[in-house]
Amino acid sequence: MTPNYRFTLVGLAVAILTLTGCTRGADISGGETLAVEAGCVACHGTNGLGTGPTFPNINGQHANYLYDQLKRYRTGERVNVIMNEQVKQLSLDELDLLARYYAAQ
Amino acid sequence: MPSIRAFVLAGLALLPYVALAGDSERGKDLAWQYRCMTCHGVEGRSNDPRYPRLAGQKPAYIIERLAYFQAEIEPFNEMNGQARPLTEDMKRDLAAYFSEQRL
Repeated sequence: MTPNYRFTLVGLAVAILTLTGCTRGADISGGETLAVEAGCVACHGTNGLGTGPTFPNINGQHANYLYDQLKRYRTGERVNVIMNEQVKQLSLDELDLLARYYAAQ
Repeated sequence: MPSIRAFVLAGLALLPYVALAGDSERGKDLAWQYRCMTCHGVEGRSNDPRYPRLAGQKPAYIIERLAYFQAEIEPFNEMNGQARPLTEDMKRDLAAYFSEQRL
């Protein structure tokens, strides 16, 4: 194997791994279904727009921020009568999917 | 004259909302003065995934959040100290400013 060929192979491997990582992170399939089933849509819609004056718009928000806040609701660190109940039934993976789904709206 | 009476009544009913709406020009000055932009970005479009974007957010939600931080419900939240000096008027002005920005 010539050094040049080895370079190409390593470059290709890095490119493939990067692309796979990107698509996995961006995969939000099932997000809308979960948002409906978990009841998020009652206050945040499927598009992330709050349906009442104190229901925040969460469309286009940072997924990282949304996930962090959902976890805080789960531990009770962030206190909100509605949200603390809403997240109880959801796993961390589900919270992550919901965060990425609404961030992408 | 039922129509005039209805008009006056409607005006009176809307009065609190008009009076309660913040001043976004003052809000903009406050946002710079109190360094909101450092974390939430210029015009509320934060580029740091740790900090929420505030552009286009609902004013009532922003006011509620600031009051929440003032109540220090989350003891170590960095927003508690930021919100502490804000008056009711200042919270309304900041909420008006950020809510009027485009996401």
